[in-house]
Amino acid sequence: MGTISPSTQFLLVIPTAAIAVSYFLLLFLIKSPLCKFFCDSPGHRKVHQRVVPRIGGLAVITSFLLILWLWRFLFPHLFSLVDISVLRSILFATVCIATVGTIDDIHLLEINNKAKFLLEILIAFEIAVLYRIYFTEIGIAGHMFQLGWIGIPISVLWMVGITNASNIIDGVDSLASGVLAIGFIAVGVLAYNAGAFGVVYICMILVGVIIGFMFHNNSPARAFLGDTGSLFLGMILSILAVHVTRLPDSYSSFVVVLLVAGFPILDVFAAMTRRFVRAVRQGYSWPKALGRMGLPDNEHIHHRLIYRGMGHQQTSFLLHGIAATFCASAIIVSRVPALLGSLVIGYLCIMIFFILYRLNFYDSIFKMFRRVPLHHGSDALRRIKVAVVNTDEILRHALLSFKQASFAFSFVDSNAEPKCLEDCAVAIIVNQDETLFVNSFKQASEYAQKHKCFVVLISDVINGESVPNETHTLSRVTFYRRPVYIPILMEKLYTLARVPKSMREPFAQQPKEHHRVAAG
Amino acid sequence: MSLQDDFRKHRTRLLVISKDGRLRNDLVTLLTGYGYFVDYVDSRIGGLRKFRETKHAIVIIDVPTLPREPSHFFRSFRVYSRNPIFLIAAKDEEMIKVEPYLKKEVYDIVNIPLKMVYLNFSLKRLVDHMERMRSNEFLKTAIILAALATPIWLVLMYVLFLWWNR
Repeated sequence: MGTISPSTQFLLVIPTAAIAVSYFLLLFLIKSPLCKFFCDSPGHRKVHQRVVPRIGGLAVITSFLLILWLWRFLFPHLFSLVDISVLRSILFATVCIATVGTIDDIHLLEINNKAKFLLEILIAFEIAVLYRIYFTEIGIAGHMFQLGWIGIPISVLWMVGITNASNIIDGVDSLASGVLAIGFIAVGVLAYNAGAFGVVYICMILVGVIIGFMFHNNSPARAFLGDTGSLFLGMILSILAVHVTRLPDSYSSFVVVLLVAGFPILDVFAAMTRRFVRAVRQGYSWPKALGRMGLPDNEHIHHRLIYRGMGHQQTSFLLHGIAATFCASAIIVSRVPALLGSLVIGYLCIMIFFILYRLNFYDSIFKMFRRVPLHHGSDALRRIKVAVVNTDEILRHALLSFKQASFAFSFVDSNAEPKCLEDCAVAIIVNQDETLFVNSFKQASEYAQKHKCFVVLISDVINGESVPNETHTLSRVTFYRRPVYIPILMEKLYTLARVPKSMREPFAQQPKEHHRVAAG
Repeated sequence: MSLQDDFRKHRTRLLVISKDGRLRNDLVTLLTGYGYFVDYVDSRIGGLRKFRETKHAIVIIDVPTLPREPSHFFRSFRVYSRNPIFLIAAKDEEMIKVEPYLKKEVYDIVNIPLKMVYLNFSLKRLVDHMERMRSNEFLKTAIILAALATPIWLVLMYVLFLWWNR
């Protein structure tokens, strides 16, 4: 029996150790009193229903450092294969992100989002400048463009972007960890192609650590990755991806590593576009709409799948499939000629378009071009003024909720005779007390005569007997018996205000049996 | 969102079953204001008859109208339609009585006096949920197939390419 080579020994020992250490360490942490400080409570932007500790990140980082030490101790000659600048940058990023993330994960403490973002930029900048981990060239359609110093800001943007994107997709059990594990596998394959075995080993350790964590993170999760874990894994992925593009025998271009992190980038890009379009539709100026792109919401891809009735595991499974597709494309694009690579990317774009279409991402964008936004200043002058006298809160809320822009409602008290009645086209009087119906009717008649407007009297007691004789002489007073069907009331208002049918805002017809208007 | 869009989205039919005329009126006014089609009746038997004709998506019933054993009553609705969603309109003092139903057939409670914004929000969520559930099966299958098939196609291309270059 021959001896086992050191690399095979490594493959047998280190990934297994990574899984085991991560699993048992997290198990220990979950049961320890420490996890009380890392509680994540349910909220309106969360999809979990109970308190879960965000302690996974701490376990992942600690396990990773422990396994690195074990690697150096057991296989020093293999450890020397790692590029020293990459190792230093990883350790630097680990320490910094662990500090920032842990503070943020402890529920008693909080770091301002802007401050956190600034710290991430600083960390990325230091990695790019001090450790010289930045893009030196960008390959597009087979052509390579030297970047020079411009590579530094692009790399900083890349690292910060991927770090935050990893944090953003951490919304469903085992989603972020799985997507990042797939990303590390892809980076490992790319590094293997380029002959950078040190990076391959690091990726294997990280995948092992993530698998160990995922045993606790599978739905229903016993622990979350937290900011510490997602930021850490995102930052390391971005560093390794940049490093892979700079290897001498690498076929990986910028497009390839973009595909490796394709799913997080897609989610963030779609979310930002949606927020921008929504802000524009809400009437914000373009600069303000750009500012609103960073606001958090719960309409990410994973949220949309959950709202469709899918479970956490189904959602994660589907999205892992998509992430794996991105990574498979990255590997293929790195190995095939530019033309074939472009075809693969084209196919991927069609797939993305289809996925986003099925998830209704384009609805708001299409509506932006379909609808003319309402300019209140000019349209208000052309609105039909309707005074609603003595209304209750329910009717008021219902009228306003119906959103017929043709009407300008003004709500007034029955005692006061406001000026707005003078130029209103229609007045609605609500009879709140059945015993006072005659008074309400007199009031309606007065309004109709005095202001020359139509009056709709809403009451409970209208029937043949209770309506006074004057009804027949006052054609301007219309009776409406409760319950009030708002679409029918609106139609009545349109009719009374003599708005041609072509000019009316359309809405669906109600069944005829509900029509209970007793015309005057 | 335009009115037309609102209607397209909230075409859902609701049934209000209540002996309390004021509550019935308020609910009808409010819900039609939100753009729903609303039917109303004042008795359980009338409600069941109306439901058999129209098969409403959501049924709102108040506590005094409920029978002593509501499970049987809710089951009788399911004979005509598989998935109606039941909401119970209850006052604060009736909450203890109603809470056990939440674990069974009832989806949510409508507070009396009506909390309008909350009611609108929860109904919108319900409607969204229902609309999405309708296409859930198809979507799930389609997405899973697409997600599973795509890597296979891509890898196939890769293998073909290697074979072609050999």
